[in-house]
Amino acid sequence: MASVMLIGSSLQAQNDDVLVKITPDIPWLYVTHLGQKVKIGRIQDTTNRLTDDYTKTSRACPPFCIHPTKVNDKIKTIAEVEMAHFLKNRVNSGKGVVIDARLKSWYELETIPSAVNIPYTVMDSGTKNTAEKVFRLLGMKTGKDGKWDFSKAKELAVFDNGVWCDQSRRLIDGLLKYGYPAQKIVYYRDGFQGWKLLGLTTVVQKENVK
Amino acid sequence: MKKIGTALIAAIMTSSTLQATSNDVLVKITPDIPYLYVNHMGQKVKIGRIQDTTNRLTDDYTKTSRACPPFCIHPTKVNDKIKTIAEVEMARFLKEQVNSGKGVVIDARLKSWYELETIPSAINIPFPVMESGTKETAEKVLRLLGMQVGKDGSRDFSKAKELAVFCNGVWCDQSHRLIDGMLKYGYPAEKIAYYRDGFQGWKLLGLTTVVQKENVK
Amino acid sequence: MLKKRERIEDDFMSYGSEQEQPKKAASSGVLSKLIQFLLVVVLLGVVGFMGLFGYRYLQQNKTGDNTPLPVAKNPQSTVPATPVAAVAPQKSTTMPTGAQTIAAQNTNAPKQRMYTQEEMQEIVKMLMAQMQNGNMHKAPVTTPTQTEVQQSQEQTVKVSAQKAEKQDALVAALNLAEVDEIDDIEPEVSDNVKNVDSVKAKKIKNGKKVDHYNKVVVKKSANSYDDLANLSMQIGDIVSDMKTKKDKSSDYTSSIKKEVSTRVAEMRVVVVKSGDTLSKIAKRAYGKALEYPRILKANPDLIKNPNNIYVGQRLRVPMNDI
Repeated sequence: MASVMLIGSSLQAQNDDVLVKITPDIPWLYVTHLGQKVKIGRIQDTTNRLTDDYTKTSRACPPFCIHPTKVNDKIKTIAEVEMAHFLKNRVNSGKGVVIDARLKSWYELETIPSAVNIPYTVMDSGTKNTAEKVFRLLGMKTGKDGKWDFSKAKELAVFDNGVWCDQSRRLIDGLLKYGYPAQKIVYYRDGFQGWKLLGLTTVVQKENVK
Repeated sequence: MKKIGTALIAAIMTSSTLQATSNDVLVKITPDIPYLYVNHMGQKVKIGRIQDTTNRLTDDYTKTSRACPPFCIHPTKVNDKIKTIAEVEMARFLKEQVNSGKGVVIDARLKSWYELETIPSAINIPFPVMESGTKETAEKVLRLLGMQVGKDGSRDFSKAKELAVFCNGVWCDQSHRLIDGMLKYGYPAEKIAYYRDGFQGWKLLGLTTVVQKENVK
Repeated sequence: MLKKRERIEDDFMSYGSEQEQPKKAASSGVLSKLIQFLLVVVLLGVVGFMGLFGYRYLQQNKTGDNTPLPVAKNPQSTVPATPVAAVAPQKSTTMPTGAQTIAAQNTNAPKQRMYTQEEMQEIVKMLMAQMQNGNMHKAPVTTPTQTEVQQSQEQTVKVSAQKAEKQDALVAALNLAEVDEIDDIEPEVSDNVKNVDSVKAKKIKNGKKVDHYNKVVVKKSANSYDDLANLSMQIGDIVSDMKTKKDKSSDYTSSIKKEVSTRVAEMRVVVVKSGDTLSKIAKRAYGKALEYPRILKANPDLIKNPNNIYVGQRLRVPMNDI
């Protein structure tokens, strides 16, 4: 009993020890990325600053124009708090998947833990055949009448580089074009820039080591 | 006929030079709004984006880790009724509502923040005014925003301005506190919009800001 | 106009219940502690199990790359530059010059390209590998054991490159085609520009200068107030008249007030005078001419183009250590 209480109180203490939490009741959370367990937390140094290319302010517009708040009336726009809940509740149970809509090279350099890469070109300029294959991986089934049944399809949280980046919108347009239900798609507008600006953990698959 | 002819030519020339200027802008705010004009304290200010595509933000708005609590990341929406907006909607709001007087951008931060740097045309209503100020004070502010009080003492917001409220960014609670205060006094939710990205989002896109109190060495 | 949401909100979807405001955290502290204790009692039976699995897991992870990094000031991951491609020759990426060409700016250029059938199949194959090997729903994430919780915070995790090595030449070629869409390298002081600190400020009369400061200094003047200005002033008067007292805003207000000093320090500027160089400005702003790198850090446009310093320019000379 004493040891249980000790563990309990130290877990509580660990919770309280986290200075920079993700949300007040989620100090950090675990996901898996390509089978590897990853802890998502925020950088704890309160003086830390972002210094990389995600602090760039002026990408040419057009073509890299700022996007409105919403993609369309049906698709919900979410942010980091909702992402944290999505990861905890949907991704870890298999009901949902975070989709990195960027081209593969971006994804491999750095991405959000647990994210799966569907480059927008797959949906944007791919064939119906390819779309079907991807949809099946996402849980679509074919009914007896040959129609596509999305009732068991996963919920998708789609993101790209940030508010000026068009890759997620193109992927979403492609998904909708082939019939993926809008209510199963959410748009993480702040994107990778928003993620990094809050000091959240990222994964690197292809390191650029000198 | 001659007058119409010259007027027509002048109009075409003006529009073509305006068109040329518009096309010269490399980094526009939206595809059809390269820049826009507003007034701040009676002074005309041009809101545009920094045109250097290699420019980076380097100040305290690149800080990643403010202690949470109390500076926790906010959800996308304040509540079901209040719209969350971003820069595109802000640009349109400034062009249409603010410049016509129907709307106003509210900086909900404490005065010292506002004076150091803020969004052009924004007026400052520090959140304590509405959160913990007296009813008397709050009503004075609300009247200035267009609220009318009927003979029976009821509050009429039909002529009240539309508000776009912001503070420092997604971790900042000042705009929430102001909005909560406004709702408490009955300000209609459909007349309030929450610019969630806030001042950090504004600066990250290289948009023009105004400085009232300079810290010059 | 707001449209009502007809459909039933899911637990993660409903924003209304997601009111994680700091002011509520304090009052629910006691309750949460109670719930925590009850959960701990439930965990009693599971702890033994988990201890075993956790230990086994830790043994596995030791062979991985989870080397905890010390918490540095800027624990950034590798800067995304051009990726190393061992397979085929890289396209040369040129450093962006002062001239702004669209090609140099195509950071995330979503180039329209048509993939062939074979390329598409490769992508789908990769996707399948990601989904299945990822074991999304086969490996439920368990509550961490104490040792795992005590691991230091690291911000990038290297996932093994095994998957990458399995890609065939076609996919690698696809990657290379996208290389030139990757962003440019972080600016460093160019080797060509020596003595960046002694470049004299130019005098610009009519020429176009790219304004990196982009802040308009507005003075209070009694002459040209419009309705909006009047509104601003009147509200300002009301705010000034407010009596400050201990209220529910106080705690939060004091923590924000502490942050204002950072803001003030960040907003410190010098106005470049005739004959100024970065060294001179550094001496004025920081007391030491050799502190000019601080000015470069705060005004990175000068790193690549030190000649852009001009008379009348406002340069940030923050007091904070970046």
